[in-house]
Amino acid sequence: MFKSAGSVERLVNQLARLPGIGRNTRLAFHILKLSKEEAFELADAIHEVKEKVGFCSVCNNISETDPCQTCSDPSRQQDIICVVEDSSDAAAIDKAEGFKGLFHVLDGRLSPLDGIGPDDLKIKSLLERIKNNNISEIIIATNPNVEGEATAIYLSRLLKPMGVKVTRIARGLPVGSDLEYADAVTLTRALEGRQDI
Amino acid sequence: MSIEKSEAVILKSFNWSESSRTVVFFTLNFGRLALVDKGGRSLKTKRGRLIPFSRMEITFYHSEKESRGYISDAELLEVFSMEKDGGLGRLAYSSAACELLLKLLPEEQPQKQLYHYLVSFLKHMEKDDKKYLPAVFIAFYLRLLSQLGYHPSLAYCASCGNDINNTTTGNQVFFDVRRGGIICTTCQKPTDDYISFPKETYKLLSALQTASLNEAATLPIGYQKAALLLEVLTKFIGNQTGDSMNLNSLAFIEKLKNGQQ
Repeated sequence: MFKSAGSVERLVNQLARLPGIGRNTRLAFHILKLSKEEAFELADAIHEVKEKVGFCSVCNNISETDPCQTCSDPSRQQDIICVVEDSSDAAAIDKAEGFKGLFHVLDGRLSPLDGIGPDDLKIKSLLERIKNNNISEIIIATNPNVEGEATAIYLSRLLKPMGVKVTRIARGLPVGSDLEYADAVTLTRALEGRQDI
Repeated sequence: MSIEKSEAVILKSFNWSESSRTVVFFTLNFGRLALVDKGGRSLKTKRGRLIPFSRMEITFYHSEKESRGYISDAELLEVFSMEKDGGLGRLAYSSAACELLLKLLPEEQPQKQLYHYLVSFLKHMEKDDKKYLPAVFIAFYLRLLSQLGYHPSLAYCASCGNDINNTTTGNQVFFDVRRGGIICTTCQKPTDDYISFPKETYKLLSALQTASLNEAATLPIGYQKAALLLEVLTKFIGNQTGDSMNLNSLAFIEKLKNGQQ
């Protein structure tokens, strides 16, 4: 086993906490080979991101300001909220530039296996937003897996009595894929969600 | 490197990198098996999707250098949808069944009868009216315990072995977690702790122990009664295995019920 100085060992241990890295000393040695300026720049960036970035009190998305840039942008459609599981989902939708409304980050999904129930998600703040603002549509964009669907069903039951239009993102074939490689469930969903052209 | 194939149902998956995960399967040919699904979370993966609560055929191999196995292909055979009316209950009870198997199944020991039983259970969860779901789950729970050697003694006294119906008086029945079953009136000791429940509830539990899933799917059990029976089973199996058998999925049902009140 690799024997190293305590500080290197500490760095290896900290890097191992990141997803997909493990106790690999290669990254630690790469950091050791960086110049002092480069290494401090990396450390500063980590420090700064933890100091400055927090959560938007309106949509719960990660942000350097409160409210976040999206919530305070008047050019965005203020009456449509897209509900997502995590900030990374909001970033992916925003990057696609097809949606100009607002977001609401649930911070997870209902999961019986992990014991995550409705009270563990940011659902109350979503209900407050709908009550206090003139919201016309809620788009539920939770992941198209079993737990994401369960969350969508739960939310739709909760939101429909509030008189707001509740929609679900379409499920089907990824652009650029081949039909012959699609599984039966995806194909069925794609046919169910067919549209006029 | 040996390549194997088996029919399987997912019990649980854990993400462990940007696009990969470890998936624990209940396979028909190999029993409980944990395999690495490399790149499986990515949309770019070329092989079939792994969908919980579905019957699928998986192809996998064990690397010679490492002890773990890797999934190389997956084909969906039958998907059980939990989206029908009462979807959250269907999902929670199906998850609870998977959680139980995850806790109780020994690794890599085929349990073909139990595998087929799980598949029929999932079919019931998909199709049955929601008022029958608790009874179907309790019947599955009891059969699972019996198949794995943890048969709670419900028909005969867990202490003296006499028929409970001939030796129990009064309207209450007493379950001794430590002895693993019902205790008749003669064997009860005032110093021992028992879980007591009405005779009518005992008859239901006893009927579910021998009922097929089809028979259980005709018994509407209210939430309160189901919660009591599940508490008995959870304490019983917890005592037998020495591990906490509190299931997250059942706690999830509790959370939903509390949220509705």
